[in-house]
Amino acid sequence: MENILEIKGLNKAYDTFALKDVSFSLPKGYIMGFVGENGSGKTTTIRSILNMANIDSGKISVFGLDSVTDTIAIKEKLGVVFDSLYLADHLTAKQIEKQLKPFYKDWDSKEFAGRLKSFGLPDNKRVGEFSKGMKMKFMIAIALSHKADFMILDEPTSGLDPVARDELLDILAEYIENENRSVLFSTHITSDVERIADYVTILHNGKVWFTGTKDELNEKYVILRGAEEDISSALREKCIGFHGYRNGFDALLSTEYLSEVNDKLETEKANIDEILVYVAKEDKYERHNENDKV
Amino acid sequence: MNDIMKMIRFDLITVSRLTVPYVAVFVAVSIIASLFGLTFGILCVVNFVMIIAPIQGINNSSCKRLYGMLPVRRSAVIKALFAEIFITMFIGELLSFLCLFICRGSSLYKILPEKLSHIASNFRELPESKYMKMYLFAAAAFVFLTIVLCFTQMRSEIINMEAAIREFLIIVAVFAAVATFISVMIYNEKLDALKNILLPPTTAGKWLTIAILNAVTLAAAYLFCAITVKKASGKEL
Repeated sequence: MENILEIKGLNKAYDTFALKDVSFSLPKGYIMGFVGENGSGKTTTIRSILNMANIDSGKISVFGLDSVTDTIAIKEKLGVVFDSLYLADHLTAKQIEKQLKPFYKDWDSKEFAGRLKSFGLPDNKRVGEFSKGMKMKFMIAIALSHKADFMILDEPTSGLDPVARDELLDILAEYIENENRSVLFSTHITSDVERIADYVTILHNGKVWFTGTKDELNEKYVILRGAEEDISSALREKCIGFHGYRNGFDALLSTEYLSEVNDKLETEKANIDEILVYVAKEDKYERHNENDKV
Repeated sequence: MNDIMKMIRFDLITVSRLTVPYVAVFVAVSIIASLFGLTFGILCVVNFVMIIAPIQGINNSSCKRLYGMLPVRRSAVIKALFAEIFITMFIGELLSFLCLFICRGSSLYKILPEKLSHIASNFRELPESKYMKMYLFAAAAFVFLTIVLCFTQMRSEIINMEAAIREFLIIVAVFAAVATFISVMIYNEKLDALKNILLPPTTAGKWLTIAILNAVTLAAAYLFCAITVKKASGKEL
């Protein structure tokens, strides 16, 4: 399978935050959900892909091209949608087309006009007056008009109402019908990922916590519940985000340890939201233990 | 179309809706004022026009996220910004020359109320060599503003906008002090040699000075641009 995006050993440090050895890849023809809590490093990774952040080490390839040396060629075929409009909001869609057209060899004005029409976007209204959903669709229309084969969306659905979110996800599903295209979709609304993504990468504290297919993730973890006295200390050590309370406990457990689970304990499938919560709890638990040692 | 031209076109479309109405009004006011011989008014207004457009350009450079997404080299974005400053300021200089030229030839000042008409006629009656000084002052304003704005643009790209504005204010204050000192000395006939260099007595000498001032400005803009490209091209957006 040919990868449209490959990140190997990406490191990028700021004063208070660092991406540490981030590696993952996205094959052509698929959607990847890029999830993690706020501040986990999703936007920094995206900025690194776009060569807007100078990476300390590692290698990023997009369409098989180097993200630093071939950044112009990459951006010709790359569509980017951020959570807010990055264009001059006092201009109309028509004026923005005039601005952007010369930058893209494959810009198709007919496609742009058609997309505006099909997305219900007026071409004579200031884009700053568009609703958030309209702004997202407008940025997608731009990406489609210069024939982007890879779309990166950074938190596009945050702040959207359910109808607008559903519409946006439908547009992405339609976009991916062409098997040469891919989507990297960063979000913390995991239900969107559950619905649309083929692959999932979970970032936590600047590190890749999981990367693989959504099915692999669904099969890899379960939620374990029961009374605290029924779990062995060895199994407890293997739990992620163990949370004990008066009547029992719950925790995330890798399915590779399912053979160690006795009949008194209950397991159930974990969704991405729950996985994220347990990962964050584990972090808190570790910090708490370290503080105790100090 | 090369990348610099694409960026200039891009920025022009961005600011056109905001700037064109202001510029159109001030150009019209300048030309009407010059028809009535109101020379000082013209220079103030023209200088205002000269300032407004580049400031729009500097503000525009804050659209860093957009520039990061466009398939264009950062160096082209920077070169376009400097070209925009120089071109808009140069247009301002030419406009002030045009206004001075109209002012000299028009007799409409006669229909103004007596006091205004008297002020205007004083300028009309200036000998050619003294009237030429007005062209020199317009060119000097162009040089000063262009160089200071290019420097400010450079500092804002390399460091940040706050530091650039601080330095801009210091430069303007120092320049004002030095210019005042030199003017007083020249007025008191203490710096005749400098006076002959800055204000040549012949018309040809004045035009030569204007040409040199423009060439120096272009060279300074190019230098500041080259430094910015070298130091800020690799900067994060």
